Order: sequence, then structure tokens, then C-alpha cells
Amino acid sequence: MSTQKIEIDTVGKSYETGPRKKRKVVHALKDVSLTIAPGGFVSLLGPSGCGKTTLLKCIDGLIPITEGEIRVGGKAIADPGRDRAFVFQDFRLLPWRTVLGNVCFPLETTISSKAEREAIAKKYIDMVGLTAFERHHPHELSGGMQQRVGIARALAVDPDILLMDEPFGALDAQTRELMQVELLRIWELTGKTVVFVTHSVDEAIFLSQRIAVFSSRPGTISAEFDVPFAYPRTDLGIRRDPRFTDLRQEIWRLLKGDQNSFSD
Amino acid sequence: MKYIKVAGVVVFLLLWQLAGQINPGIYSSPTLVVTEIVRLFTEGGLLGLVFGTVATMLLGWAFAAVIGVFTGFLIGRYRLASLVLEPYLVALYSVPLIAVVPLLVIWFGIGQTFLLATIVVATGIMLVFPTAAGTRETVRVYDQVARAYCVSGRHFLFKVLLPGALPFIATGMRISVQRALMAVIVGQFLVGHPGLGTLLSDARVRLDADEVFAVALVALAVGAALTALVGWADRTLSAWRPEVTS
Amino acid sequence: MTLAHGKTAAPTRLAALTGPGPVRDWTIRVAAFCALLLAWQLAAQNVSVAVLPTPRRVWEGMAGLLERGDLQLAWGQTAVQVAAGMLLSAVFGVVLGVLIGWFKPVDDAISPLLNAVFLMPRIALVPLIALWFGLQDTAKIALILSFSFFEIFFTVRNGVKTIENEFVEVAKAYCIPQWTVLRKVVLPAITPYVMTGLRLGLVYALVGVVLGGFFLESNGIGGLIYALGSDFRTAELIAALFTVMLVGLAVNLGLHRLENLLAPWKVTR
Repeated sequence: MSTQKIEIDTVGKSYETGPRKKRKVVHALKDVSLTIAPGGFVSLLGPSGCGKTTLLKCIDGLIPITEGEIRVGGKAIADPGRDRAFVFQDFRLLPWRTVLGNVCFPLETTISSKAEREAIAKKYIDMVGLTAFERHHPHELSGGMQQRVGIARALAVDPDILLMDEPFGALDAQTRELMQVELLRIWELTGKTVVFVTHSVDEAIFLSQRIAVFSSRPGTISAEFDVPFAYPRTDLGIRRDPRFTDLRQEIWRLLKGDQNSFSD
Repeated sequence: MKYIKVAGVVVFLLLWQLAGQINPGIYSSPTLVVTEIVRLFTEGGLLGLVFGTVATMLLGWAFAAVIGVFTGFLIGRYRLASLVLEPYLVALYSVPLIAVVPLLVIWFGIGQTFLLATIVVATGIMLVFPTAAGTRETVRVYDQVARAYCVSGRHFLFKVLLPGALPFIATGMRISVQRALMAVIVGQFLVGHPGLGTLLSDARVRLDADEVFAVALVALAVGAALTALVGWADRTLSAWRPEVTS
Repeated sequence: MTLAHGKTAAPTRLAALTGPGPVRDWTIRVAAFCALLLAWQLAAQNVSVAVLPTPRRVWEGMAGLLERGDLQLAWGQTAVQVAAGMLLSAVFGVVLGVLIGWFKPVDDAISPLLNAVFLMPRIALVPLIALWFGLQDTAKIALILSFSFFEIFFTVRNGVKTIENEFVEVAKAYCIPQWTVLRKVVLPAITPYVMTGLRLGLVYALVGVVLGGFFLESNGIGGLIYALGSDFRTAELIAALFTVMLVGLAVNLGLHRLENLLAPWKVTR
């Protein structure tokens, strides 16, 4: 048994596209390898269309991989499982259900007692600070609040791993920073393993222990960086640190190189 | 999957043929229907009736488009027109307008004018709202641009407003073609004006299964051909759009 | 447009009538309505009553139709036919729409055929319906079905396909079994589509029932309109047409309300 929580072993994902006579094979992912320790916080960073979201969905089992293997807790996965929970960029709450109903939703197939389900849901709604809104419908909430519900829904199934697909991408800058602080608080509280997809360099540095930088066509990991800051982190404390600027610059240079290779 | 689609059609045709073997008087069959369509072509002057119907439809549809687009432009551009007309237009949009055909007989007789009026009444309204939406959208986006560059009056109308609203108008045409065809057929059916409609009334009287199916299939073919044509025109008309706006 | 007339002073009573705002808007609307009635009156005075009767005569025609019970009888027959036709097309449209939208192979196999019938002017089915069902109520219900079924079916099917991307992936990510997804995600999510489909279907059912009155057995509101038209009883014809407009409008507005009531989340999307 390995000590790693998630092992991504030379994973590839390709699919065919175009009309039958002009079929082209597109490599969304190629030779991707990455390991993530239990309780770790790793960001997948890269430009849009580089395959980072595809990899995240592959880890969840939503998309089947065509080469290599993904192991979670030492076992190869093929389908979505209860040990992983996915947080979507566009929230994807069920609009006809209340906040409480949305958080209860994934529990309904596993827990038969309604009271028990609601008790669990309420615990996590409280954790994301929405207790006052549990009877509201999603369309009555702001984007930030909707994503809090999305996070509560993911936590409610008590997964080992949170897979977050640009969860704050649809939010405005201020809400985004608040949510980042909030997410770190919840992560430290629950000890989940987090895989976080983003295209914001600052967000990746602020949140994660390690950053895997993607390059596109074919999507693969071009470099990994360790983030040297200890938790709990505060936004201001980190941004003033010269190591922050250095790291940021180094990642930027890498991403920019990728952009240039694109244009020729 | 393409194979499943083809298989579905093939199975349907086989079942129909089988049903036709058992009771051709009720179900006819693909082979009998094809024979009947060929007979209508050679003896019944089918081609002439179809062309006459489509020509009438296109003419009436063109009238409807002119009237509908003009009304839509008025209510989209001028608040007063929208205040006065829009309540009635919204009401007319959601009612079965085909019911007024007997009144149109009284007003326009039973000739070509009546058919054209029927098409205009049935389809004109469907172009009003897309055109109004297109006009409003174009005004919202480009009004200040045009004023900043001192483009006004006729130039604004023909160089900005009309091209901007064109894709919306094309959409209106696309959704109204089916109704235009139905209107002309209903008109012909009702007053016995030669065309697809009279084929229907003959078939209803004789109740010959082969003829009944043949006429329905001919109508289907005409409807499909017109829809394909309009879809193609819509795509062609909208194709230039990104290049102009960028 | 509205920016040009900013509110500058406290509105006086006169300003309320001439200045911007809902009061002025309604004044214009009412004035336009009166002008329309006047124009109708003037036009009608100069032509034969068989071509264009005056508003007053139409009003009397309406009273006469109601007094003799013609309208009530016609709408009664029509209501029964529409109710039966709508019930059938609602059940078939929703059930087939969900199943065909949900199971892709079934969609591939059946949709080309249904698409083809959708492209046919449904009036062309009248002879076929007469052959199979005669001219009575059954035939009319079949005609209504041919008009309203497709609206409901295609709206629901496209709805199921739309929500698939949005919600079904969520259910998959949280390991919800397929039948539970159908029951707890797909069915609630398609409510707005079902409502829209029913509204469109009912409007088309009215078209079908009117045409049924023209071309099948001459009863119901379509038959009444046809008979009044052939007798050149124009005042009563116009009165009957007004009832069709009213019913069409009421059906549409009522179902719109219901739509917003049952699926309020759709409004903000």
C-alpha cells in the first residue's frame, strides 16, 4: 500500500472528433503523473482548455481515461465514488429545492432517516455559515452563497477528497477572496484532501501546498511547485512576502512560454 | 448513431408494408403510395398544383414579411407605436388566427387575393416580435455608436438598423414557414381553389387509402423542402454576421 | 428614450396626464382604443352590413348568439373535444418526451419519423383522419392530438436533453442511481418545460379544433364560425371570432401564471 491518497499514473485521455472521413484524434491529456498525499491541498493551474478540468473529472470518474491508471487510496477507480465529492464551477444546485434540500440530496440514497439526513446537512450548512438561509431557494441567493451551498453539499457526503473545479471562477473579486479564506478554514477543520482547479496564479499560491502547472495541446503537467508558506495563512501576510512575488513570477514565465509556443 | 436512425425508418416502412398486406383499404402501403404519387404526377397534374401552391405561398409570405417587419420595426423603434399597438399584437400572437378565414372569404372572395390575405393574417404576426426584438437590440447596442460618429436618418436605418435586425427577421421567417404553408392549404381546402388544398378535399371525399396517404406524403415533402430551404437561407444570411460585427 | 425625460419636478395632476409614467401610457392606450372604435364605426357606416357591421351590431350579434344558446352549445362541444384531445396529448407527449429524451437509442430510432410528421402541415392529415376515424368526435380528437401532441412532445424532449448536461452530471458525481435521477432530478427539472409544452399544445389544440369544425363534422366553435360565414351573418361571425380570441388569450395568460407559480426558479434564469 502506498502512502499517497491519489496517484495519477501516466494518464492519457484522447477522443475522436470531426466528421467520419476527417476523424482527428485529440489528446486532451497525455502522460500526466501526479501524487497527492492524504490531507494535501494541490492546485491544478493552467490556461483554459489545457485539460485541467478534464483531469479533475477523470479523478472523479465522470470521464473515463484512455491510458494509464488513477488510484485513490491504492485502488484503481473507474466510476464516481462516495470517497470523492465534486464542486462545480457553475454551482449546479437543484433550483426547485431549498438550501437544506440541496445539501440533503446526495444523502438520500444512503441514509433512509430524514431526520438524520437533515441533521448532517444542517451541520455543514452551519459550517459554511448559511444556517439563516436553509429554507431559501438557490435563485434567492447570491453567487457566493450558492457556491457555499455547493461546498456544503460536497462535505455532507463526508468524502476523503474534495475535487473543486474553478469553484470561485464565477464570483466577483471580493467574494472570491472571502471564499478562499473560508475554504482554507474548512480545509483545516475537516482535514480533507483537496484538488483545486484554477487559472488564477494568485489563488493557487494563496491556497495550496503544491501547484501543478499545466501546458496545453496535449494537456500535461509541465512543472510542479511547492508553496513555502505555513498555515493558517492570511492574504496580506503572504502577498508581502518576497517569496510570493518570486514564485508568482516564475509561474508566470512558465505560463507565458506556453502561450508563445501556441502562437507559432 | 446513424445506423439506428436508418434502422428506425426501415423498420417503420417494413411494418407499414406488412400492415398494408393485411388491410390495404385502411393502411395502404409504401409501394401502393408510391404508385399513387406517380399516378398523381402523370394524370393529376400534381407538379402544377404543388408549384401553384408554393408560388402563392411565397407571394403571400413575402407580403406578410413586409407588413410584419414594418410593424415590428415601428413598435421596436417608436415608443408611441409600441404603446398603442403592442397590446393588440401580443393578444393576436397567442390566439388561433386561422379561425378568421371565413371572415376573409366575405371580405376578399374566393380567389388569389383571399389566399394571400389568409397567409398574411396567419403569418404576419410571427414576424412582428422577432423584428421588434432585433430593432430594440440594435438600437440599444449601436444608437450611441451611431450618434458618436454622426450617422443618422436613412444611413442609420439602412446601414445599421436593418442589417442588425436581419438575423432576427430570418429567425421569424424560419418559424413562420410552416404556418404559411398551412394557411394556403387551409384557404384552398375551404374555398376549393386549385392546389394542395383541393387534393386534400378530393381525398377526403373519395376516402381512397392510397390517395389519402399519397396526398399527406406530398404535403410532408413540400413542408420538409420549404423548411430545409428556409433553414439554408437563414444560415446563409446569418453567416456574415460575425465578420461584420468584429 | 426614457432617459431623455428625467423627472424634474413634483408631478401635478396635469403633468400626470401628459408627463411620462404609467398614467400617461394608459391615457394614450385608451385614446387609441377609442380612435380605433371610431374608425371602425365610420368605416362601417359606408359599407354593406354584410361586409363590415358597426360595433353596435356586433354587440347585438353577440347578445343574440348568447340568448339562443348557440355560443354556449358550440363552446360546450369544443371544450369536450379539446379536453379529451389535450388529455391524450399531454399524457403521450410528456411520457414519450421524457423516455425518448432520456434514452438516446430510442431517440435515434424514433425521432426522424416524428420530426418528419412535425414538418408536415398537419391539416394534410384530415383525409387520413376521416378515413380512420370518420368525421365525429373521435376524428376531431385525433386532429387535435395531431396538432398539440408534437408541441408538448418536442418541448419536453428538448427540455430533458437540456437539463441532462446541467443536472445529470451532478447526480452522477454523487453516485445517484439512474432511476432515482429520473425521479428526483429529471422529473422536477422538466416541470417548466412541461408547462410551456402544455401552453403551446393548448393553443395548437384550439387551432386543431377550429379546423376540425371547418373540415370534419361541422359542430363546436369551428362549425359555428363556418356556418355563420357561409350565411354572411357577419356581425355574429365577428362576435364569435371575438370569443375565440378571448378564450385563446385567457388560456395563454392563465397557463403563463401557472407556469410562474409552479416553477418560479425559471423566471430568474
